Amino acid sequence: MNMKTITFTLNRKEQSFDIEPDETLIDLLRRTGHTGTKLGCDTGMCGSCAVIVDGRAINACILFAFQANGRTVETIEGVGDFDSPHPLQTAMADAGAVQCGFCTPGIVMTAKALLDEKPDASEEDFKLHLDGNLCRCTGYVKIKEALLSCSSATGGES
Amino acid sequence: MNYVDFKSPTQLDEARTLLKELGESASPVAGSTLHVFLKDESPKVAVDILRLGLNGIRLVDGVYHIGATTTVTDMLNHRQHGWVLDRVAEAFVTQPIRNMATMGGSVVRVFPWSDLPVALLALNAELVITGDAERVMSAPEFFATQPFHHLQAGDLLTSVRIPALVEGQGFAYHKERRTTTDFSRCTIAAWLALDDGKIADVRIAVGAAVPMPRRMDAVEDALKGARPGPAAFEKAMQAGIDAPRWKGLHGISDEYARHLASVHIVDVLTKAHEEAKGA
Amino acid sequence: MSKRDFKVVNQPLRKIDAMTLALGKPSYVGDFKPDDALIIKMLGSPHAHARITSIDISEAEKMPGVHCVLYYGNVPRIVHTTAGQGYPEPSPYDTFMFDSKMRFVGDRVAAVAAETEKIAEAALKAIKVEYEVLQPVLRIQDAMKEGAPIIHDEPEARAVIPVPYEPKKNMAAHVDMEIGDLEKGMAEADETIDFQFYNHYGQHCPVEPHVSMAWVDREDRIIITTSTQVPFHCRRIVAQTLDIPVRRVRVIKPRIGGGFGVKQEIVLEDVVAMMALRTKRPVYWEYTRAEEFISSRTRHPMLMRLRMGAKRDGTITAIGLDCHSNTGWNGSQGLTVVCNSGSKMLPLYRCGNIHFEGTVVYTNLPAGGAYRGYGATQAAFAFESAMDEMAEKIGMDPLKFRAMNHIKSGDTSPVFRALGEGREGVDQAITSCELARCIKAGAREIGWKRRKPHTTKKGRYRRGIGMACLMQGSAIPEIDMGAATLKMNEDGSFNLLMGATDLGTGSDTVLAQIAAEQLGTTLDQIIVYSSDTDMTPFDVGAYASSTTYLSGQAVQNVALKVRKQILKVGADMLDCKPAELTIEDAKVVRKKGEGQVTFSEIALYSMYSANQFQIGDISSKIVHHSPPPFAAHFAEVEVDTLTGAVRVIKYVAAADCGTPIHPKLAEGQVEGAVMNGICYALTEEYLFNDKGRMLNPNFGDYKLYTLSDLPEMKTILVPSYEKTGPYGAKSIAEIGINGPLPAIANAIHNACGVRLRTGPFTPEKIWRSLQAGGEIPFEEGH
Repeated sequence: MNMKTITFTLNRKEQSFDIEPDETLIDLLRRTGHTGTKLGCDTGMCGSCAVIVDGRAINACILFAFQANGRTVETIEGVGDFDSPHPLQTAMADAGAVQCGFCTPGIVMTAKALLDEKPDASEEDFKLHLDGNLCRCTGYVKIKEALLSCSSATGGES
Repeated sequence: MNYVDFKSPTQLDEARTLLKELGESASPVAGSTLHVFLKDESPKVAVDILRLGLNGIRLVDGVYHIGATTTVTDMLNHRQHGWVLDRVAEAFVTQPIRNMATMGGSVVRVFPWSDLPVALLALNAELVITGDAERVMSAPEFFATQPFHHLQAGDLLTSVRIPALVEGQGFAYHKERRTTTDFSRCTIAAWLALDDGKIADVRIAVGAAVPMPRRMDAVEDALKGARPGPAAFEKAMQAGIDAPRWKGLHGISDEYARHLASVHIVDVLTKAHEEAKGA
Repeated sequence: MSKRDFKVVNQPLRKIDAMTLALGKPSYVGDFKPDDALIIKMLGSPHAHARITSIDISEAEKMPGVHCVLYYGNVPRIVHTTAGQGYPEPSPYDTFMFDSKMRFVGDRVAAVAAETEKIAEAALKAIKVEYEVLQPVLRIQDAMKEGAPIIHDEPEARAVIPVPYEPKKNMAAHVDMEIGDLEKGMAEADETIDFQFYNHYGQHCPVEPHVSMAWVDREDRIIITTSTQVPFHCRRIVAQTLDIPVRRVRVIKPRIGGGFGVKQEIVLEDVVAMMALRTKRPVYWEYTRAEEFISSRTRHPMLMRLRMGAKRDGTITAIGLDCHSNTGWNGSQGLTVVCNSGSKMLPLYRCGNIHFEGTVVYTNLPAGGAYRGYGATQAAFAFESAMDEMAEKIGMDPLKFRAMNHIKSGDTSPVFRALGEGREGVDQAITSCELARCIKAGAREIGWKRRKPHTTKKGRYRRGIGMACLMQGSAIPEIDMGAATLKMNEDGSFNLLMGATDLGTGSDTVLAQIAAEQLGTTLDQIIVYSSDTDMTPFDVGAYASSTTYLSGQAVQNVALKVRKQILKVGADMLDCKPAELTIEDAKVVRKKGEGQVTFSEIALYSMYSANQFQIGDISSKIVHHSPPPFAAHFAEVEVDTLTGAVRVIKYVAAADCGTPIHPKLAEGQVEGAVMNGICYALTEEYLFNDKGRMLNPNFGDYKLYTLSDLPEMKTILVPSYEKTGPYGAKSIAEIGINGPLPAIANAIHNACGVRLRTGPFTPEKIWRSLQAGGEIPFEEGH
């Protein structure tokens, strides 16, 4: 195969990777240990692979790795850890919005992209921005609760 | 897709030269959201056209120039007088896809559920193709066949032009779907201009329930010069509803597809008229 | 109901793995894929019904990077069931690892293990297969016709429990039950109804598709890490299909990305185990989303006839339910699902004359399996739609009609004894039932009082309100067994080892809460491990709404035993009798006077100081009751009478699950189940072509709601106390999915007079029904 090197900023660190031309971004991420990004459908229809590229949530299962060249990529691994979770992660955990948890990283990334741009996101904003994330466990009720609690406009509401 | 190599040109000329040299084996890649629907497994060289600076929305003399790699999210977020594509962009599948998908990718290959082609037909868009010479095609011309057939090796769709909506004009868009992210069962767009209380001009386009998006000429003809209102819309709809061959997709019958169109032609005309009236 | 002063149970605690998962830490099978794993891909049959006349794998085998090709010619032919159930299984033995006969589009032809996915896929293309195409059977009614093509004509097909099984007639199971006399009851009625209903195919859609991997360890044992709800059944069935002893197989279940019943089935594990054995390399197999739809399991579609008789005063005189269930290409869970159609709905209303009959048929379509609701979903649609129709006939408010007839605390039902899971059931009286309060609370929340007859409604958009009452069970009495091991560590923490299988429900948290409550410590002191067949004791697995009720009692019992050991050591240390001691906040304290020792001190003493032993124990539990949870559901919808489009405005689910051990998780179970039920009622649909190929195996076209489609949803947990359950708990996981089909059907009727008897309730069906004046002729769907 025709391996080529690309370089992009991954979780605030510039890194180079040897990739195959037809490799998707999720395959690259997962084989390099970023397994928090999940593969649920492989066709861009479930959102569990959502990562942030240049500030916007995208489906890593359909974006080709070469398209990330020179860009800034953020995955769930760069968002928080046990000692410093992102408020969204804390809110999801506390609201009971994490059941099986398989969709959770994608939801956190998509919501983070929105809040980074619009810290006072409204319920309508969340509904529009989260329309690409499937969750089969929660019925979205507790997810909505968690997300709203992270917006400066709706924080504290349930 | 079976990409065996990729190129990341940063200049339009550079990209065109590459595409020309590579010919059939080249595959321009922008938002990358459609390859899952394509069956092509022949070896291709991907040419990333996202770095050519073709994105952006500019208003020039009452006409919006939308760069081919403008994302749907950019169209959704754009707020300016006479800009209406945000209404279409909102119906466009999901947030990650809106973030990735581009104007160009959404119109050079038409799928039954495509949103933008239907809107562009109603809005009388012009599509600019940059080849050895620049060509401008009207929307009906462009969508008369699968648009990628218009593109020779080295040609790129570089921008789309849409007249901004002015006072006395209205635009409405409807996509019939069971959930917010469903494939469309029937897509209707209407643009309408009033003059002295009468319909001076009108364009209605349908998609999803027909093999290719198309204008509804007979409905338009029945409306031109008429006094707008429920009865006129209903009558015009009846005059043209049987012109297309309706095709029910995703488990619906042809008859129901036709019925959906009949309801929503009247609905979108009503909405477009409301806007034109300044309501 | 009794109020208890709980410290850990019934408290708003964080689910123990929630942060780990929200951080995206490696947790699921796919996160542990070894770098050197071979990738498995399966060649699926292009025909719904065919015989392989020739197959040539030699080209594929020769391809560089291909390590193994399996097909019917090179694996043992061992008949088994893929259903993960108790042993001997109630499902017929009708499946082989590979067979020369193809029974659905997607059936296993041959599997390849290769260095990369690309090579595996290329190898599949190199396999040459010729088929003799047979007539496919694609409808329940066609399967039962005289002279219908026989789907299971292999001589090995057999039932392993005494139950009618006639594969030559495409019949995978049959069950019937009579209480009183249906005809007599119908004759006594003032009004009778006799309607058909059909519920359609649906899939669980866990966001993580089936995924398994396996390797052979240095002792030649097969280690399988798999996304399963039934690790122990998986171990048993893999051993059976490979013809190796159980001791050579170890099954590890990490975190599971959703199951809802679909992972109560051995779908991948036999092949990964065989591939690992043949190649001696780690192997990895993950279903694509399309394979998940087509080749894993689905909800059994059912054709149902519902008869009911009632007097004008509201007395129900007769209930008859005849179900014909489509089990697809194999008989997995066919008998037990249809049994539950009877046993989980028929006791709900008091009636002396009940007839039930269930027939399970094979077709050349995807296989049914366990799916949340498990037969009750199907029956609830017919039954609760019919309750509304009967109420209308006798001129009674449907809420009142239900309220006056439903089962109450202290009542029993002859159905409990007559109908079990594949055999006779178990007598039981209802010891907790707050259905009446569920109905009241739900009615208040939805605004039942403003409900008006559909005949009074005008305009294009019309709103309507509908309801449904539901019951389920809590574990399978006298059959299911769960066990737990608990041991104490130096710092006063505990390892809780369970076969019980958390598939995302939060059962690890719920069971740890029960242990902590019983031990007198806090949740963070319980280290949970589930499940690993080498490490944890047996449990049947996560199904039949059993984990909280059944495994919860096993945990409660073992914690009680360990508590006694702790008190005994404490008594040694404090030089007194255990009876003089109690436990408070992880300390053993004297009931009277001074003196206390911490759990940590006790653990250290028991390990290092005197009379050393491991504080710890194991307990098993089988249950003798299956106390039903109850629920009343209410839906408000809006119908566009021009297009037939229907929108859920508000959905209220009031549920009695006994003590909710973890209220947020209990609500989450209801909300998730209800949302799944709403999508199933309105948008989820398998589309097949006339050759049996599924046309929409993707999330683009098989529609689930997202946050953007969420209607107003309200969950009301109505507390009760189930005295046979752990801290008063009953089940909650399944019941919620049964409500939306009938509640929405009834709401649509209340909105616009349309009665729908075939799911899903598509706009076109509603439009056609409106055109036809309220109802279209009944048709078996897909």
